[in-house]
Amino acid sequence: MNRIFWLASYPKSGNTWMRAFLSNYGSDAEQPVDINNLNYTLPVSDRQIFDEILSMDTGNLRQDELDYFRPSVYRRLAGKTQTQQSVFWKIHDAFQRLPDGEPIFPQDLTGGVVYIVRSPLDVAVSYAYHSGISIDQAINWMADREHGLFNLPVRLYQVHQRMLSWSEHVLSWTEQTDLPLIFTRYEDMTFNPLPTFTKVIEFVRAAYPDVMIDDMGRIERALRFSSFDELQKQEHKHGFVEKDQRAATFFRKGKVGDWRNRLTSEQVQRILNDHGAVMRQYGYLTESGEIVEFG
Amino acid sequence: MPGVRHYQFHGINLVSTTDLADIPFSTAPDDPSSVTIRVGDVPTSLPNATATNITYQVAQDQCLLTLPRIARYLVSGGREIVYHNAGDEQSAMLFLLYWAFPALLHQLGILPLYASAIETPQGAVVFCGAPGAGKSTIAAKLVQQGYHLLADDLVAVRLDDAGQPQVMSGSPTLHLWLRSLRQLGYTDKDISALQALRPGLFKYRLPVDAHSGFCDHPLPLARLYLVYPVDHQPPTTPPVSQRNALPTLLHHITHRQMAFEMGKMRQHWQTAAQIMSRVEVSFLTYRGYGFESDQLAPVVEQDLQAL
Repeated sequence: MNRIFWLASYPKSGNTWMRAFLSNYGSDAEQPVDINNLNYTLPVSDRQIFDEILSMDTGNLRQDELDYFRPSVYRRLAGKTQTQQSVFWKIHDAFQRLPDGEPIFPQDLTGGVVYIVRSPLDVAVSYAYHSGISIDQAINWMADREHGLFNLPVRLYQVHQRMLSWSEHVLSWTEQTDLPLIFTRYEDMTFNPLPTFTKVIEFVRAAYPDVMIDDMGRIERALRFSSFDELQKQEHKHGFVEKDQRAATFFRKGKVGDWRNRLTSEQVQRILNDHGAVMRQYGYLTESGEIVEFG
Repeated sequence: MPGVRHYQFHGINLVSTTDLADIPFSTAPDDPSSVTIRVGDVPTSLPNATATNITYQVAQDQCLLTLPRIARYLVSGGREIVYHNAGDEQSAMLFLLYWAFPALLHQLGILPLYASAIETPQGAVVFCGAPGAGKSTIAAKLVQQGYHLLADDLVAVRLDDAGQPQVMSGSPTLHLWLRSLRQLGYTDKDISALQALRPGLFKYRLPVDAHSGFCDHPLPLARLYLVYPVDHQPPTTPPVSQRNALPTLLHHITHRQMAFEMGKMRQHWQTAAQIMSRVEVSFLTYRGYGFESDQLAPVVEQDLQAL
């Protein structure tokens, strides 16, 4: 049954870009896939999914009560979505377990995890813009182990997604051994796309049983059809249903290193203080603590 | 029978051994078709279940609903709800009225919608929408502006003898998230005086005056809105195409999967089709974040005047 691939990341780290790529790769059409209809992928935190499967208003459940049901809901959802059309499930949660030790993301369902990480310096800028908050507030959130999306008391059309701090989010996924995982950096997706996305395709090959995986032309076209310019163009033309209403656009700049134009030296220092150890571990800081340049 | 109380909820007379605090008292306590609500033994499973889901089982004329550490409910034949409380009473009551009771409505063939409703001079106006779309907030805003609340969180529609859809009266209470209360102008002090729907939940019971803010009788359905938050304002009310109207209504049936497994969807489909033949469905679009809810009432009023 292990056919679901989780696309996991902290917000604003390239998850939607990866979804657009995988959708275009699967569709292999003459035209780019519509960003408002990214087949092959499914944002599984939509509250309607939970309300429908549990046949109740899950807004009346506390977070621990809803979490208790999550593995069962995912199994049921996998049973309902028999086709390949929704094999990649997008999440922003940290990897977590229920009190009895069971992972919230069931092992028996999982083909693997594509985990995407992006420099917290750029995440802070993008997250602030996307959420309509100050950069200082975004930095606070990223250091807060209680932070989550659709957290109480504003929980609404998505279920609560507990994210922990940015560092803890990264470590929760990369240090767990229950689910096979490929680790992908946003910066490598940007500056080294072909080998980076090819590795992802090799990892998720079970999701495309009818496709020759060494079809480089197909990968290149999917990359072209999911380029930042293309995504931005589509959003400009038709809007994007997943955009937070507090932000003017979902696809803002997508640039690596934009933090240099936006963060004060104090803000940079705060992020380094909060996340320096994990940044060093994953190649965002040198051993001597210098910020790594990409590109 | 000593110790029993008589209530009326969505047109159904209830005889209960438990205090159903928010629910209006019945004006027909001797109704022989009253539904009984009582505490009692509830099995952990139904041996003759025809459908087993994560939170419930369905048998021929029974439905067993289970929330671990909260409560279990056995809903039988459209006549009785027996419950076993495994947690706090407030939570058990909330799920009894808004989770188990819709299952009973299905058994009776009454169409339950995940919606809110208000009274207008033209009749009942119902607001459907996705979770978090703003159904209760909009109803609350209109109640602030002098309209009467008909129901919140659950709206029951039945056809009268002439085939006219009638919207039943629920309880004089709105269920609102903290953010909605703030949008409606309630201060932290106001909110601290409200009771949470259940312990630990940032969703509150906002009572409306049972006499001056609540409609306690059924009303013909005049208009059905699909609440749809968007980026822009001011609010608009474009029609839902005839082709999409029926699927839209069916989509907002409470516990749709359960209804299907009870074999009730055909009957609901017929009710919904009848509704569609008599009532128009419109979107009600408004700016979801930081919306100026004051703008909603005039738009709805103008739309209704065209009926």
